[in-house]
Amino acid sequence: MRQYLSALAWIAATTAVVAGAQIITTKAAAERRAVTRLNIELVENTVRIRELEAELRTRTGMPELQRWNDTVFQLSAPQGAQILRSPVQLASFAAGPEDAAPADGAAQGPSLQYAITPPTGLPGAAPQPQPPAGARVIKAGFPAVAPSQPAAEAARVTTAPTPQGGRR
Amino acid sequence: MASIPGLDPNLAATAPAAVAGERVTARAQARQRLAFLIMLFPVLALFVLGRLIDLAVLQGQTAGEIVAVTAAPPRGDIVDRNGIELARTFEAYAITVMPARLTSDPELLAGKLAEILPEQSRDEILEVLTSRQKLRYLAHRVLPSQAQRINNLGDPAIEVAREAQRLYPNYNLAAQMLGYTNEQGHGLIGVERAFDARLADPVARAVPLALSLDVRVQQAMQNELAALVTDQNAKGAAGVVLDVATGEVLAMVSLPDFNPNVPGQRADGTAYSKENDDGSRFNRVTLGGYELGSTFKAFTIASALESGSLTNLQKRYDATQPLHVAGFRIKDDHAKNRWLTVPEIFIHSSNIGTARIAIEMGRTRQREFLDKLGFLKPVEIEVKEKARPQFPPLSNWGQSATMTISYGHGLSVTPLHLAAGYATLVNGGIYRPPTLLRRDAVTAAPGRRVFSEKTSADIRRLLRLVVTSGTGRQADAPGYRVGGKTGTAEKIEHGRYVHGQNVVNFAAAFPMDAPRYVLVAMIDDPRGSKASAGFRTAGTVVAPAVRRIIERIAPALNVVPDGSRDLDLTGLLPAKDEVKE
Repeated sequence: MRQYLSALAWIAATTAVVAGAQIITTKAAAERRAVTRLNIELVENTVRIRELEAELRTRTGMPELQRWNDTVFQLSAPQGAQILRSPVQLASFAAGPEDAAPADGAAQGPSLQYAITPPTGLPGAAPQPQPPAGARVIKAGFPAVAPSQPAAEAARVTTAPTPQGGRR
Repeated sequence: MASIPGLDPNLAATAPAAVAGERVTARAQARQRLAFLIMLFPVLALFVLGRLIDLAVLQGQTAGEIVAVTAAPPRGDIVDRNGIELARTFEAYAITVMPARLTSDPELLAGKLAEILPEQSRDEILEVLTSRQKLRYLAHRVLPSQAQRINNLGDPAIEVAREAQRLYPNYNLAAQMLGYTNEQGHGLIGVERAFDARLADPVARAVPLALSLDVRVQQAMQNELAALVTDQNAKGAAGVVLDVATGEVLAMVSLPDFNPNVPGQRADGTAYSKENDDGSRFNRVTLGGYELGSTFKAFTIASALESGSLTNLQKRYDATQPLHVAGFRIKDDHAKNRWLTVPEIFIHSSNIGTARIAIEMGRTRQREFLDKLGFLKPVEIEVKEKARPQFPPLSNWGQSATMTISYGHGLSVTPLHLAAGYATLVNGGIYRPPTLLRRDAVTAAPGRRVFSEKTSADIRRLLRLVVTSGTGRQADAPGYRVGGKTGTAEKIEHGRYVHGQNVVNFAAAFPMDAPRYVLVAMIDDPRGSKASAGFRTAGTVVAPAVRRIIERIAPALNVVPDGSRDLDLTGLLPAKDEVKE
């Protein structure tokens, strides 16, 4: 009887091990299949991305940009003097010759105002700080419009190509 | 002794009785063998385990690598130095037909196909459908919508296949340099040919081939030179931009050009063949040999300074009258008819003065420096389309050859030779072979010293002087401290000078206080225009284009314009000496 029980135990243990191994194998195979599927998907997506990139690169190629510039934008390369080396150099343009030597003799920098400011007169517009008397002010902003106009209409800015002198 | 069951008792009785010691020995041997066998199994198991680890871990690929390899294009991409695609391969649709297996009426089918493929006539399609060949291509690179409509026709003999197609998104840009492939996908010219093995390699092709080219620089130069060719009604043009520190080619322009997407077509849409060659496949930068004229004078002066035959730039040479040697007459186009210093010889482009400097230096040293600059062999660059320089053999390199070669006649080289030579002149005297591959300070070729720092500094000042006070004034892009030299030479065709046809060129470098780039532009046979006031010289034709090109490319190359900096040119010229071309 004891021998039978022992054999039964062995058979049960062996069956359990085999079943466990089978489950692990099946799970591993399933994972492997999932990885393969993912790989295939990745490759397909890569190919698709390449196709889209090819179209994008063709549409944004240098000859296309040149054609757009020649026919529409008409931009030209900046001259050497137009390229500034620092914000300080930019700020120096605010000071004209008349500002170079202030009347009181004290060194006085140019007074700058932000390029885009809320137009005065609109509801909720904060009062702007007043520049010192006699300072030259560079000011650029949206034109003041009647409060009845919608804000989107007021903020619309139309740009036009800058007329070019000479050939590009 | 008990008898063994089953054994003949008589036989047992006759067999020699086993000695007790022998039995013990036999048993011990059996145990040893068993123990060895038992030990063998774990060893085998360990071996198998080790091999599995080796395969799975050491030789294994990560998932990313597997994807990268399988997703690799059939041929590697080519990109510029900033990663912008210059050439790529994608799976396009192609339509094939097996005429013998057609189930539809060919004439009816040809009509339907002609509606879908408007670029082909019905008769052309019918010819394919009724062909006796087993398989014919009906169309390459058709749109997906066209492929779908053809598939919907439902004839089993017509197949929509995917095939690898090479796409050049920038069309004609750098066409000769990039080259193109044949239907089997092998490169035929240019980079496609030079790096064919690298681009087709199953592993290497996953990584794009990064060139030194900068598409912005290429586009600016190609556009300006094309405009100049049109304006001057010229036969062609060539241009190259070189990084003086690494030898990288940032732009290589050869005009006329072609569209590598349709290499079988000429620019006017007609079929290309060798018989009606329009010169568009010809890369003038590496394959065109030209006598480049006065731009060579810089090499003569640098060689004389380096060899010690010229010790002082203020040394004067007799340019009062033309030189006569071996039946030739050497004269100046802008004759001053007086003794000239070296800077004056350079900015007035005096052939007489330069010839005298060369004679003083001698043939041997002239040839030695030209050899060091690589002018006596094909230019060192990766593409295979390279011209062999033309120069007289040593036996025929006499005094007259020494004189004429000193100002750029009697020796023909490519524009790329000239650019590499100018890079050597201005970068401190180190020659580095030009390359089409992206480099940096670490991977750049070490190069070889040809001129000393002192000679290079002297030449930089002379080149700047030509632009501030000499024949190259129209190349002066304000703020960029441009230096350079003009060159005009008679054109050679089939080994003979063509009277009335010139090749004009300008070799420039900028910024001259710390040179970073060399630019060579050349126009083949300009005819004069309103913009050049009817002149056909380098100073009036090419120099203004060079200025425009520099103004376009310098901001892209991070060259900061600075009007407050320049080279110190004091002492080079007598006061108020000006040149008018």
